[in-house]
Amino acid sequence: MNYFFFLSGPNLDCELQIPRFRNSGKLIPEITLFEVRIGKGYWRIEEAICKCDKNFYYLESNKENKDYVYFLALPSDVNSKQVKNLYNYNSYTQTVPDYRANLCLTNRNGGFTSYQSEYPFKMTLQRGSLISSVSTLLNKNVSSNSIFIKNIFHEPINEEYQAYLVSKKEGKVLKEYRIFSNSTNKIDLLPEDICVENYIVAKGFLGIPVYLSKNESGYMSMEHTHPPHSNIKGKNQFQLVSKLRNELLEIVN
Amino acid sequence: MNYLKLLIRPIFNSKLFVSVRNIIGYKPVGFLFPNSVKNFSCSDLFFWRTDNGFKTIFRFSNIPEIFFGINKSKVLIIFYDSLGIELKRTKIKVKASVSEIEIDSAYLGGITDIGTFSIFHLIDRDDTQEIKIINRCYVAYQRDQSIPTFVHGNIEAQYINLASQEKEKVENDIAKVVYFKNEYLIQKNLSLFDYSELLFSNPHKARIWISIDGKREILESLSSKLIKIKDNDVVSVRSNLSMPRPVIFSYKGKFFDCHHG
Repeated sequence: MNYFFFLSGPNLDCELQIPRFRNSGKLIPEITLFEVRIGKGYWRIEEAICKCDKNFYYLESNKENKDYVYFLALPSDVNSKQVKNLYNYNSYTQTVPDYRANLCLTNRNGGFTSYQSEYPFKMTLQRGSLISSVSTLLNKNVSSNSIFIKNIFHEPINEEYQAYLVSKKEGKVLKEYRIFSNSTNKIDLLPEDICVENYIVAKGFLGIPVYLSKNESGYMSMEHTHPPHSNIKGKNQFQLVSKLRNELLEIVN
Repeated sequence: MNYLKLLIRPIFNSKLFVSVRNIIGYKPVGFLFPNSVKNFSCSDLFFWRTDNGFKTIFRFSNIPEIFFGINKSKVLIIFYDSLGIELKRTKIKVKASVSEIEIDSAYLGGITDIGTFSIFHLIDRDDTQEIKIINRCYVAYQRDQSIPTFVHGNIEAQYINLASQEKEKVENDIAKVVYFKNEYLIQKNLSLFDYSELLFSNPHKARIWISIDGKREILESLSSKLIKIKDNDVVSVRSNLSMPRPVIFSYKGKFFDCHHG
């Protein structure tokens, strides 16, 4: 199953359109949107109160709900309003192609940018290390470049981790950032940070890296990167990715 | 049980069984990689557009260097027009970890239209290691005062067997078709925009059909089609292509957005 989430940042609003239908055309009318937030040592689950029509749920981010996550389930799937861990409640959002929500960032100039987003349940169970090249999706010639790193972890905790801007060529850490589990982390980059040999590295922390560029007229571009293993195939696919990951982790160690 | 699965999986995922699965509709497959080929370079089918004031910016990573430590390599980029006919081939020496090319009307000999393109890494034949590259890349579209708006590759289409005697022969049988009712609903409310454009390409080796809300279109291999949508909240795509997902451009006022559907 998939969870859905917001991204957030100063002078940015986030809207989420979560389809009620499966992309193969099937729809269970009773399917309901639930919101999940961290309580004191547990996850608190409630039915989401938001605008909806027969095809979509429409959510807007605010200060309170920016780190909430959302999922679709039948009311009978959700037996308790307080749970210790996030669960794989059902297979409704287990589809091929992936079941996705439209996550759209807007600004006061009327600019907007979106991508089809989801956070797979199995990723909430994993700890690993994130590596992502910073030069593939950003634009040096615009006024602002950022990377969102969205993490959803199955335990209801906001743990602190470190992320690093690493120069692979020079073999050194250029910058350090504090990031948190079960949060949307936003890292702002300067034009000189956007170099073809530079990577964002986060040890022990997995998340979806989403890249945002914008200029002063309100134009924006947002997209997520492919995971490194999707660029190669074969028996050594994961070994080759590990080699690159270890090379970068060695620099941050 | 696991041993049984290991034994059966290669048969289940073989070309013949995939054809059977796609005929009967049991766990159909969208893309089948040439796993028996030891060294290949595979490409998504990307869109270029130079219509309506657009230019296209293409960024690709040096995968031979990043993952295999191969310092000297080239890329072959092949451009197709909207009918799927080859327009241009270009070879570029790869010098950086990430490279960029700008595709505007002048780059394509004055053509103002849409079309597709593929990229293949060319390396010296190396029998010592298995090299299987799938370059997914990133493409941005820009017009007027906008900044380049990026989307990632999303539809694998072609490959070159790097060990083949027939150098640079492009194979075209990764994307698969199905023989049963296949419907895909776009997971976004398109009625909230002034209008939207759905860009479809045909990554399959033969002609395919797509039907948008009942209107049927034929696409030749490697060709592309732009379909304008207005006022539809949910768009239904039917096709014999297994994964008929378009790139979506949505427009509101002077702004536009693009992403994979």
